[in-house]
Order: sequence, then C-alpha cells, then structure tokens
Amino acid sequence: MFGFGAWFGFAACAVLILFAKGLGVFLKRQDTYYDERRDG
Amino acid sequence: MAELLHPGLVLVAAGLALTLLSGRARTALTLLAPAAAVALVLAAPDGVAWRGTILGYPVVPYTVDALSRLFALVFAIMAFGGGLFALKQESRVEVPAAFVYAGSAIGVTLAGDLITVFVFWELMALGSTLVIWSAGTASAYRASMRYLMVHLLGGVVLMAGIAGHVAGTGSTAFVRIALDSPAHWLILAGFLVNAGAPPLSAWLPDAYPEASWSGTVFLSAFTTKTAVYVLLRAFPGTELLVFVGLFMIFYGIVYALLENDMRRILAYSIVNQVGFMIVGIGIGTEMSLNGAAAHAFTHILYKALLLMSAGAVLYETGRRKCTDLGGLFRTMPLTMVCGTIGALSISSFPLTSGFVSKSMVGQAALDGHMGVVWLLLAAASAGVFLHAGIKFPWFVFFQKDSGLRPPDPPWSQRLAMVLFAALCIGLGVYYAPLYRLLPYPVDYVPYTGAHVVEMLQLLLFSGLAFFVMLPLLKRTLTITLDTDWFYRKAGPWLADALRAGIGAVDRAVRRAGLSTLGAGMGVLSRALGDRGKLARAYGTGTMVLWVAILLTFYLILYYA
Repeated sequence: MFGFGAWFGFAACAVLILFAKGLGVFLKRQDTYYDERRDG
Repeated sequence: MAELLHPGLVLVAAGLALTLLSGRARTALTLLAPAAAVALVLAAPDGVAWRGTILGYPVVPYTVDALSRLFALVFAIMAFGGGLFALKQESRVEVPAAFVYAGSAIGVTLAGDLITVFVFWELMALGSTLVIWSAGTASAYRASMRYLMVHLLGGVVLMAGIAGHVAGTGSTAFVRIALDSPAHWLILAGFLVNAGAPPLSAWLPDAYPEASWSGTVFLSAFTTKTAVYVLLRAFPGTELLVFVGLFMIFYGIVYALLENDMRRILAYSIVNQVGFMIVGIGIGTEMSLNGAAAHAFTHILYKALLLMSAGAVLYETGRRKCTDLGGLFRTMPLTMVCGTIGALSISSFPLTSGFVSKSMVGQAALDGHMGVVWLLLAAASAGVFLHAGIKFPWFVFFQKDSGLRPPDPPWSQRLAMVLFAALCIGLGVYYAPLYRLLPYPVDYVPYTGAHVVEMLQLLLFSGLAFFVMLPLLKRTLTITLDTDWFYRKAGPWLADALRAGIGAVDRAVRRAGLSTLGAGMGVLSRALGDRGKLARAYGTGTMVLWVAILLTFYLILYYA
C-alpha cells in the first residue's frame, strides 16, 4: 500500500495523543497531590 | 579457568569492598570490577560450572548458555557504564549497592535452579531499594519503602510458586514451565511483578525517578530485564504474554505523553519497551525470542544513555520538570547530542541499535500471521517516537529558553555518555556481533529497502504529528493517577476511616455499657441502699404480723 507507514504513523500518533488527552481529563492531578502529609 | 570465578559474585564482593575504600582505590575498583565481570562472562564456556546441594536440594549456581551469556554480558557492560557515570556521586552507599544489585542480576542469569534464582532475586530487591534510598531525600525514602513493599510481595508470590513447583515435580531445575498448576501461575505472577506488568506497573515510574542523578541509570537496567530473562527461559510462547505486553506498550506511551517530569517520562517508556519484549516472548517463535533478547540488550544501552543525559541535566540544574527546562542545547551540546542518539535508538531509527532489534519482533508477528498484533506494534513504534524519541529531547533541550545556562557535566559523565552513544550507533551499523550472541541462529536482514523506507515514513510522519499537535502536548504541573493510588491514597483513607469508625463504635458501646451499669446501680441502691426498701430495719411486731398472715394462707391452702 502506497505510503502506508506515513499515514498510519500520523494517524496512530493522532489517536494516541487524543486518547491521552481524554484520559488526562479524568486522571490528571496537581503534582503536589501525594505530598500532603497526613497528621497521625 | 574462567569458571572458577562467578562474574556476579565478583561484582557483589566488589560492591561490599567499595564501602571500605575511598579516593583512587575506590575509582579503580569501580571501573575494574565490572570490566573483570565482562571478561569473565566472555571467557565462560557453555555448560555447568558449579553445582552443589542446599538442604538436600541440588543447586546449580553457575551455568552458561547463549541466552544467559547475552544477558550477563549486557548487565556487566551496564555496571561498567553506570560506575563510570557515577564516579562523582557523593553518596557512599549508592555505587556499592548498585554493584550488589548488578551482581545479583548476573547471578539470576547464570542460575541453573530455582533456589539460586530466588536468592539472587531477593538480593536484587535489597540492592535496588538501597540505590533509591541513598538519594537521601524524604521523598526518595518513602518511594524506596513503597518499592520494597511491592517487590517483597512479588518475592513472596514467587517463593510460594517455587515451593509448590518443587513439591509437585520434585525438581529444582530452572527450565521451561507450563502453565498447568496454581504454583506455575504464581511463578509467572512473581516474574511479571518485576517486569512492570499490570496491574502493578506503577511501582516503576513511582520509584525510579526518585533516585539520584546516577541511581536511576543503574535502576533502569536490571530489575525489568532480569524479569524478561526469566520469562524468556521459563514461559516462551505463552499466549497471555502477547496481551500483557501490548497493554504495557500502550500504557507506557499514554502515561508518558501526559507526564511532565523528564525522568518519569523515561520510566514510563521502560514499561513500554519491556512490553515489546514481552510480546516477543508471548509469540514464542525463534525469531520473536531472538527479537526479545536482542531488544533487551539494545534497550539497556540506549535507556541508560537517555537516563544519563537526563541525569546530567539534573546534576547541572537540579531540575526535573519539563516546565522548568528548555533551551539547554546552547550550553550542553554534548549532553543534547548523546540524549538525542538515545532518543533515536529507542525509536528504532535506521542506523541505531533499536532498529536492528525491535524489527525482529514485528517480523515474527508478520511471519506468524498475527496481522492485528503487527499493526499494533507498528502504531506503538510511532508512539515510541512520539513520547520518547521527540518529546524527551524537545522539552528538555529545545522548546522555550528557560534561561538556564548549565555547562556539560564533568568528564566521567561525558565519557560514559559518549561510550554508550557509540555502542548505540555501533550496534545499529555493525549488528553481526549482537546477532551472533542471540540464543537461536539468526536468519534476518534488518536493512532491506522496503523496511528502511517504511520505518522512515512511520517515524517522520509521527514527528509531523508531534509538531502539528504540539498545543495539545503543552506541559502542565500535573501527575497522572495510576494504580499506586490504591495504596498511596485509598489505603491510608481506608485505614483512617476504619480507625475513625471503629473508634466511634467503641466509644458508643462503652458509653451505653456505662450508662446501663449506672442505671442498674441506681436500682440496686434504691433497693438495698441505706434507705432502700429491702435494707430498712422493721419492728418485731410487724414481722410477727407478717408471719401470722403467711401461716393463715398456709392453713387456707392446706384445707382448700
């Protein structure tokens, strides 16, 4: 298939980035999330 | 002659001796011990070198074949490169611990029985925990304890499996294992914990980036690749591993895309790369097993190179977050070039080591008519370029100008990076020595016109996708939740909730008990107290009257 690597690579990356972005909506937290110390 | 000395034990002994040395003697031993281990591995002939008996079980602590030689060799090279890179490390614990860790990893690869495997397996957990711990920060201490807990859990599972296997078969030999009993499933689970497989993958990106600038370089090499080695030895062709590997590949890419800390990006990418190896083991043909073994070899070198360049940046700037970095190519040109070579190798760019190793796994999927697996591997190759090949160098060395102007690192770090960069390019161009070391005869030519063109198309258009979608990849000060949330947040919450809940119930029960007791005491004291009815003093006449009444009743009842 002509240019398979090219369009497949581009499409795969686009899908991965969008999926990651979508997952990030649910799973992203401030990077201090785990820093809060519990007081005994 | 060579079989008199066990290369792994030489490294362990050197690690212990290093704790007593300082100055030039320490430097000399740091470089000589791994070099000696390399020479010993290369000189060791095939076959059993040592055998003995422990508690009535036969053990083979030192035996060599092609597969074990390949892994032992790259572990010894890695110990040398890591030792060189860490010469300026101020912690006196880190390099000795790393040598014990590396020597134990070699010990696993040269073990011919499950008891020896288990002993070195646990020694690795201790050595690596000390490497993380020796970074000396509070966060490193906490991370090292979480790391240790996960690995002790994995060790217990493995121990249970080995005990069941030995009880069931009567054999301690470390050979191919079929998944036909609960004990064998436990062995597989114990191995997979160390490989960074789901659901516990989070231990890796949680712990490794907390080590020092040089500690992470050591950590990247041994634990996961020892797991790849034992899976290659015991579970080749286990179909389940294809799915586990594919999950790890995409997990690594997606989490790395969301990550801001440069060393956590590279840690997620370890899970991703080990995924390729696990898929190769799961496919189980000679081509795919060769591919998995070769990829472990090249991966150790380029991942160490990537983490050396990240470590050099951390050493010079003290910063780890992409949001704080950028524009470092101006004053750290050598680090940038070496980091980029590592990034191209991990992306399997032609003329780098990753190209000659990873392609074999894809080819095996094609040969086995696993079209979907092949397509997913191709998509994953694009994703690797995305998250490690471009993202890491772009955000660290280019991107915006962060205003930082650090110089390239000291000579020892520069030398280690140049050495590993040369190996990455060297193996990509002259791959015959690597192919000769593989466990099965190799009938594969990586550099065909079609393959090179297709790979270049894939990678260049992945690059295009990265820059077209750059606004979506803008770094933020965030982390991404993972399964470690369950033991870092949910576990403590549950403990707190239980403590609070149990406390409340306990208080309520005690309060109710006390008030019941108080009420009972009131009744009793009203009856029996000073003025109580039963304690009152009655006159004699009253008593005589009551006795007369009772006698009357008695008479009535008697005659009635």
